[in-house]
Amino acid sequence: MIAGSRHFTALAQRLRWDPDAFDFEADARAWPSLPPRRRGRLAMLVAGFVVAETSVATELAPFVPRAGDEATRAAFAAQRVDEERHARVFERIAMDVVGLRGPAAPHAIVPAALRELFEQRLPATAAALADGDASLDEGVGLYHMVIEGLVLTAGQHALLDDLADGALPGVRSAVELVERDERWHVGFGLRCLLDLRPVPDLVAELAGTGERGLHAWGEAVPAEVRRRVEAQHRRRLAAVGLAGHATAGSLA
Amino acid sequence: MARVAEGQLWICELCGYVYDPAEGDADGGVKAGMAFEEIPDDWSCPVCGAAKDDFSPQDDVPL
Repeated sequence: MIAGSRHFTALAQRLRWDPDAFDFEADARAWPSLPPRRRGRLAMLVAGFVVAETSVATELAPFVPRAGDEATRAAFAAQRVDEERHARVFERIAMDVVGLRGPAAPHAIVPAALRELFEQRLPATAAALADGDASLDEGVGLYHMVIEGLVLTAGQHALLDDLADGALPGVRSAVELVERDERWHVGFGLRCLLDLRPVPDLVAELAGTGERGLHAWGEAVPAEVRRRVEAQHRRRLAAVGLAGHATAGSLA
Repeated sequence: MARVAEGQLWICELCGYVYDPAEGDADGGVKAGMAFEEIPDDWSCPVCGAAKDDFSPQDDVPL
């Protein structure tokens, strides 16, 4: 069972943090001394989050008016504030630590599948939601379960695992806060799905997404992280009765 | 949505999952009827993977 929407709005208030408060100077000094291959992988992950968080912050807007009650609209709005914060902190990391300057720089090194997800597929779903051509449970299925529960969580775990040695302490602290926020976003998404009672086909698609949803990162996310995140995805759906029967769906 | 539980509910402070002893957590190896205190310490939140220490007691499911 999952808490209601008011719980998540209150939780968001308690967890609020300032993306401009981080001091990345030590990270910026340490960056050039990291091995080139490690820098390449970290740069791809950070660039991926610049693209992803900018997209999710924008594309969450049509979800707010589609919610069926004020409490859910407030929780969506609180989540959007979180997403804007995430976009800002990754933009700072990209510029101040990784040296990806200008809006085009991150896009140049992000895997094509990730760009397709965040620059085409999510915007198309959000537009369909705004036009009334997609249902809210379809939107939440893609946004909260696939993108946040699988794709972004996998990227965050990959970053946290890589930075566990303290090589970039400021970046790791920032990613820890982003990952903490992501947990309530996923819980809130589950709450929405339980309230919306998705059709069996959507439940089956969610259950069958798993590994396919994680390939968007390419080699930037290790196989062990993909397995761990996929297992958590299946377990969370089962825990709230949304396990369904896996099929070759189109959510990833 | 809020209800009085038959056993003590526990909420994950990070994701809002509520452990109800009446339901247990089958995929996590926790049988229905098991009180939260009896769950092994290496159990984790089925929704977000948080540790058992990240849960706190809750009288009702929060709205």
